[in-house]
Amino acid sequence: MGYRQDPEFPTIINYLLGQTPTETMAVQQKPAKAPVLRVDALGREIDEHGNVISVTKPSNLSTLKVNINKQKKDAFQILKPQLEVNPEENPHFDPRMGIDKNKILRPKRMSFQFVEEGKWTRDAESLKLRSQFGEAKARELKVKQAHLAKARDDINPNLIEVSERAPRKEKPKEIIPDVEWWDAAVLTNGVYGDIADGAITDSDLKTEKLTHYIEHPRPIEPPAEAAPPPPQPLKLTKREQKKLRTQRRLAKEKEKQEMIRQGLLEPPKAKVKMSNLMKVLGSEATQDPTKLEKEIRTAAAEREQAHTDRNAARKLTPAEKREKKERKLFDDPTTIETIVSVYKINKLSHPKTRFKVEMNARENRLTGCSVMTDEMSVVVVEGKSKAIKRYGKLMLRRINWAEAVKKDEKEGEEEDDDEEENGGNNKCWLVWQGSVAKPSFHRFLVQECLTESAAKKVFTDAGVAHYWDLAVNYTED
Amino acid sequence: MEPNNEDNVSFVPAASVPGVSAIPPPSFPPPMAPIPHPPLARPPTFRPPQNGGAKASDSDSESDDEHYVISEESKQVRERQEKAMQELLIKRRAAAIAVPTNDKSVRDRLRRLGEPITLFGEQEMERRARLAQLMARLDIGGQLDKLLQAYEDDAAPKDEVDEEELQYPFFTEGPKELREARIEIAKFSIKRAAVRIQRAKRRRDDPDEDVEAETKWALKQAKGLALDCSNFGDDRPLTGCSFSRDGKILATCSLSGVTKLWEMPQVTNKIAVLKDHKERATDVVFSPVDDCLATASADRTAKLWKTDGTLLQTFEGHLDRLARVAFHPSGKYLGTTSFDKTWRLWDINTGAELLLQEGHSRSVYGIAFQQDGALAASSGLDSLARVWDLRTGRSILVFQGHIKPVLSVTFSPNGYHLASGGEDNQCRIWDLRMRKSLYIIPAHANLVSQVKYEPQEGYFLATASYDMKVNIWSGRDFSLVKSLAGHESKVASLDITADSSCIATVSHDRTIKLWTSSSNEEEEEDQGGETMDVDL
Repeated sequence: MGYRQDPEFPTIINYLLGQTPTETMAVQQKPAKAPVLRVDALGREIDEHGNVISVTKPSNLSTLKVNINKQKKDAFQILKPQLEVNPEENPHFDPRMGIDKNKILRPKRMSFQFVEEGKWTRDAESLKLRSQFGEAKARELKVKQAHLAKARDDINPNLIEVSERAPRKEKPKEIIPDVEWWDAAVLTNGVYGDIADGAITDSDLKTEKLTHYIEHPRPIEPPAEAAPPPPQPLKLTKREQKKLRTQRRLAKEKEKQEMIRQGLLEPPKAKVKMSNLMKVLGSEATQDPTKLEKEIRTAAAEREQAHTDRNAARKLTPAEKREKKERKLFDDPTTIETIVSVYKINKLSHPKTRFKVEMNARENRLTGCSVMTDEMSVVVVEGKSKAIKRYGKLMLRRINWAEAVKKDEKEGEEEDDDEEENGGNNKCWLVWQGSVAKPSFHRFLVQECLTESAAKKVFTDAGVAHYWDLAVNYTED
Repeated sequence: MEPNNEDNVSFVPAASVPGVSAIPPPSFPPPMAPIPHPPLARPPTFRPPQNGGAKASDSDSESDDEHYVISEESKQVRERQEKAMQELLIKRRAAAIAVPTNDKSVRDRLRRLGEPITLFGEQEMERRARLAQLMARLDIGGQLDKLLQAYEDDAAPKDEVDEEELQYPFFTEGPKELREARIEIAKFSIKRAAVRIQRAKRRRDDPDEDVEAETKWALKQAKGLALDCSNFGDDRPLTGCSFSRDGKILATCSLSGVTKLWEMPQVTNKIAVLKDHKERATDVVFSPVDDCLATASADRTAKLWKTDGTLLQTFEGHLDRLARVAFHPSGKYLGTTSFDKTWRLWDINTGAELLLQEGHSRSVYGIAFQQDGALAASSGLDSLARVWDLRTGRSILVFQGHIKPVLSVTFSPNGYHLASGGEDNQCRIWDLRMRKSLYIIPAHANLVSQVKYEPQEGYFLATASYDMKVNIWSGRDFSLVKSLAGHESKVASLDITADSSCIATVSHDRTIKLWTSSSNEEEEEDQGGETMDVDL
């Protein structure tokens, strides 16, 4: 026996004013006595009057639980009141009638509002996710939950939500033009015509375009050429340098002498040291040697101090030193280009390693991104050459990748030898290093992605999908 | 003019600073040691207010001003001293001014300053002295620089006017033969283009043609490439290599200037040695039509040879060293690039220069001709790849994207893809129909020295690099198919045989290495078009 649908049951009931639900419910009661089967000569069912009851083929003979459930679900319609006519669009609608759309459509209290099982919980969850994380992440988390749910075996497979299948993008077939546009300029007709089969003649070509003139287009300067180095100062030999210094100092001394002679300068006090004390101040020395000695010593100490002070004043302050170092490392203005390094790592799960990777990138003023998936992780950094070199040393030498496996994984399965070996497999490779005109990232992003497509999306957003493609296919040869 | 400089430097003993107190202390016993604070030593009674700036620094002097009267004597003394000071400073400045020594320039300068050039009885020495004085005086007035500047401004601007008038693009006349050559090239290329398009359409629409399977098979072959044999090519690093059109001869050139022809398939026997260049040879290429080859060298010439070793032609005309050389598919014309920012097109038979093409702002390095023969691509140290239409002579496309010199360009056999590799370690693929960049391959860890497409259908692309590796990339999605490592030094050049069975690479470690597909033993079913014959 097929599953015969009761005609009144599934249809959508339009609520007209005044009609109570109980009437319609009443119709659904089945007759008390057993149904009688009357068949005519051709085998069709007829009713008591002799009319043929047109029985449509049973729509569904499926025994698959999924299909049966789907049918039941369709049958289980949530009764929603609907207005036949939209009051706003109808020009004959009289607003004085007092029909309030909202009020009518609001279901009456006496009927049951059946809601699908689990609807409210689902809505609440998605709302919670959306508010907490934002749209994209909410979707990802849904995917994650779906993955987790797959693992559970007690779930009714019919209750798993089937997401909409995105239509498969067919590779757009490359259009082969009839004529290459550079040939079209030379052909008289603009198309090849029969040239492929036959011979080509002069009439096919616009020979007036073929002249003996040579074009000189405007030359374009290279985008990232360093400025020519500034002219070097004149280089003198050691002898010349010494001569120059002596001459300068002599000239200075002479000027000083001149000024002193003219009386503009005070003649300098004699420099008295312990050794020439007696020669310069013979008489005073014999009178009070102690005092003089003290004065001489203090004077000598002061001279020394003045010298050191002068030197200290010429030194850079610590702030200036720091600035100079930073400038040399990161802001070298001679080169405009940016160097990019792409690294591929098996696993970047250890939080310490992640921290190292991120902080070193930030401190070296490198922009880029670090994308981690279950299969592998890709780190891209862009910056100046010295910073890139430092970062390379960090990634390829300093960090011990074999030991950089997540600790709680190791602790949980210490008896298992396999986990240790997994740590040994972890390695970092430099996939590519090269120069680029402008950095494609503005800061250093750290992103953990569940799916490969999400990871690729990060790169495609920055316009550098080819880094991901290269890293995915890269194998250590 | 601050005579008292004590305030500037701390703890400086007065003896070592030239400008010490201008006021000679009247009756001081000469102190034995420099005493730190002269103000302390001065007796409080005698503290005449100091002039000018010192007042500001010495806070006491202001209050003293009202109480002390300056005597006439000391005022005079002070004035005298100031004057003397000024004179000394003027003298110092005058000595520092650069006065020309050459008599001609002395006269020039006097003219510039509007002064009489020669006074009565004046010789060179006196003239120069007068000029020095004048300049010193003007310098103090601050007018010297202005005058000199004004003069220079008058003299300078004439040159700029000429350059501004140069409108780009402008045209110059070439030789008459150029027109005939262009017409010939046009006929040749249009026919080939028509045939190519027809064939492409057929391959797409014909149900018997299976492009996917062919591509897969070709990539599988490429994946199976392995080192077949290796041989020393010369004493010096090798710079270029080329297969003959039947694949039986391999030519290599090196820094010694000598080009050697080797017998395939085992590159052990030398067929010929071509020795004529005076400097190193930078590139070698076989003709696609005849049995001849061309070499380019740093001695600014390119030479055309026969395969038995005889020299046929020498192409002279470049002003700086040559970089690369390429034959036009018709085999009648040769293109050469040079560091004199031009690339030239030569007629093989006559040896005449047909086309001198400028347009790059730096040296031109790479050159390639499209298989149809319609287009030529040139790339240079200005990081551009330019595409020229050989028939009209116009530059139809400029591809900007590399940021370092582009060292190699090559057209794909499909006729509308162009690959370029440069010093920024990238290889870029450009689509001529769409006129933009199709893909960027981060190809190597060091610069890319040569890029070549597989000559049959362009199923794969080979790049040679200074990181000692040669990479094979799929022509469809540009993923890495195979990395050929074996050279011990920079790989300078590579070439692929016409049937795509063998790749030859030459390197700075002086070896030639041949890579062939090791999966040749497996018999594959013959699928349409997959055989080694070129299907035209």
